[in-house]
Amino acid sequence: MTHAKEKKHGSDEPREEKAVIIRTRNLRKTYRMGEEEVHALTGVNVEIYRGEFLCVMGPSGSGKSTFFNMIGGLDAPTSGRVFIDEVDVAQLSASELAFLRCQKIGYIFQSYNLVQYMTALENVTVPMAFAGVNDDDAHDRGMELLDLVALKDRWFHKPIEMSGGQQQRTAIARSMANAPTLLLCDEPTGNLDFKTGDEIHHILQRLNKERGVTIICATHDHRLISMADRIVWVRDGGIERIANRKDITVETGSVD
Amino acid sequence: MSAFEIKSQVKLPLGKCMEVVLSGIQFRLFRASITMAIIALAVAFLMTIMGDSMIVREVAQSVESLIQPRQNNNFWVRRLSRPIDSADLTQVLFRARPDDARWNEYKQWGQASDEDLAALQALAADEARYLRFFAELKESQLRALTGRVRGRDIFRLLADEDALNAFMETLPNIDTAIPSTRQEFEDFLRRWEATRPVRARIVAGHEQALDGVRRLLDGQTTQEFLATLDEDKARDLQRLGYRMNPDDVRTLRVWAQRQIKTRHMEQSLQDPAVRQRFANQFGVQDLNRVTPDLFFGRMATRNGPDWLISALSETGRPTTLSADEIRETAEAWLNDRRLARLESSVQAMDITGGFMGFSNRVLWLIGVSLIVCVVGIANAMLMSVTERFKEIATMKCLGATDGFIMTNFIMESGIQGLSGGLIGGLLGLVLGIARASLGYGWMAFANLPILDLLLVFVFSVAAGIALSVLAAIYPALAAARLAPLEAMRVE
Repeated sequence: MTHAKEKKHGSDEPREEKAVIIRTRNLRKTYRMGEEEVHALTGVNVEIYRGEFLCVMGPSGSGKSTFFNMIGGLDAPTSGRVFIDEVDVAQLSASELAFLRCQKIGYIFQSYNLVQYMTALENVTVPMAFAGVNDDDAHDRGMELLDLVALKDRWFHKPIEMSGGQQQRTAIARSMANAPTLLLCDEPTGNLDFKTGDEIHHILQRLNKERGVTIICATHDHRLISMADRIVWVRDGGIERIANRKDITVETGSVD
Repeated sequence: MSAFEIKSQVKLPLGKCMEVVLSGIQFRLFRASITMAIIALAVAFLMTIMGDSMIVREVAQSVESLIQPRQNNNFWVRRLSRPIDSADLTQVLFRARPDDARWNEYKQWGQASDEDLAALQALAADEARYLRFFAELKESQLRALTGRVRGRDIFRLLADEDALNAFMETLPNIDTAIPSTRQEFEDFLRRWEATRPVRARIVAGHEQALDGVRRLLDGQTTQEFLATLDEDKARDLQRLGYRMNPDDVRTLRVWAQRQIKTRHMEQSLQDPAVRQRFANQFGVQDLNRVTPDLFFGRMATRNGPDWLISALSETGRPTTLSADEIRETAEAWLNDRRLARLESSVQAMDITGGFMGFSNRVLWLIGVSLIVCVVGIANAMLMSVTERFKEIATMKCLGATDGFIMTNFIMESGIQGLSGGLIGGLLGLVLGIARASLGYGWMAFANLPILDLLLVFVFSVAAGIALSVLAAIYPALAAARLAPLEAMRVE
């Protein structure tokens, strides 16, 4: 179906003009499964730049999810460090971590994860409430964000009354609630059909281009990969390869 | 680029938290109502038991005050007609306080000092203990120990050194032991002997007083004497050593008069001719079926008394009672009968002693039901946490603190506890009143302890809230500790 081929070797020169938003140092994660130790990550060093669109690829069991959770501040490494905007995540208290997740990072999930008993608008304004934004401002900003994902007319709908695409658009609006600099997307179009997926891709692309939001996507979707600035391959608990988008060709198996 | 400044996450105001909780409960209304039903049941149980026993206690007090005149009458009739025996002596002294009426009576009759009486009183508890020990022995054991001697006479028997030695040697042979050390028992026996003269003097003094009473009665029965009691006669009694409360003069007189009329009516029914007439008149087939209940029941009706007056004059024993007197007496008799029945059922309720007046059995029931309730709620809350893993983890990704998640669940549980508690409290109140009124009828309503019931209601609801919050602590902790990466999991 989808695979990427490297066009050219050794063009991994750093882009000095770009600031680093996420940096990992020797990131390791070991799980204990009974007697056995499972090394999910074996010393990952990577730098992610502000404003880039990065796709993370890798087969299941490769450590991709673990890597993803680490840089999203959702899980603590066994050893090594994660810096988000030069802040060492391991040094943060629970409350500061909550602040980081609330203000700095937006999360988009494969299964949308909207709160079922809240309307679209309420879902979008939840992170604002956590951030202490007052209700009036939250309402206005929430409506703006829903407008951005073309769901302004449906602000009062509950998740159950919306299609998958609409739910994911709501989730994107929610992830942008506190204007984070970083969006973490876990298979954002994994549950969506081709056409709806495209809508999501374009919204993500717009956020990246127009608002300069750094976007990190775990995905297998070639269309998303074709939009990326860089692609990271994870395999066997380490970074197998990092390539610039322009250096590879994305081939798509066609469907008539 | 300025480094991003990390702060502590702000605390969400409780109002906002409440909004989230309420819409959550609304969304999961079915589950929430099951949890509420569990709480409501437990609270209703608690409320019923407590409310019911509050009412019963109130009824018991009321019954006690209503039967007090009758007991007082019995007490005085006994004292004015019979010598005091050792049992009376102990019983009266046990309740007497220095310088009250009974105390002073005994002091005068026994020419005793306060110390003498205090010494007697101090013996009462031990006396009861040893008497209970003898009473609980089998007849064969008792025969081996004391021969034919029974009751308090045993104490006199054992005052003898040799008899006591024989007694103590026999004890192990019949596999029993006195409820104290031998030293204490000997001490008791010695004191019992030492106080014998005082007791004898009191009994003798009272017997002298009884002679005086006999002269006062002048051939009347004691009840007839009491029926004509007035200030002068009370003073006569006072001279003989009896102490009568001035308020008692009237109630004793009224009650004695009523007793005499009752006796008169009862006697009239013993005449076979009257019985036969009664049976014919009121359609009773079997003469044995003519019970006092039936008789007084008829006499309390409109036509009953007139019938009795004519029946009695026809059988040659005309009555001096008027129709109204007959009816009143019958009503009083029926009322008295009802009270006696209530008294025994109230006593069977075992409402004295224990925590808040509840017996151990009831406390056990309450305790177990509350534990079941806590486990039920904890289970419901745990399930609620489990099925909301993703929601909780997502909330944490969106910036929820552990405290918010905790508060969320505790609050949800508290709200369920409050609503369940209110429903259960009302239900229990209604059930409790219904139960009490089934048992005691109008007495229950007439003696509704509204303030107490209100307190118990508030207590039950508070218990409901406390229980559900308690039960939610562990599930809430489990939820708060949930890692946010659970949100990434795909089913």
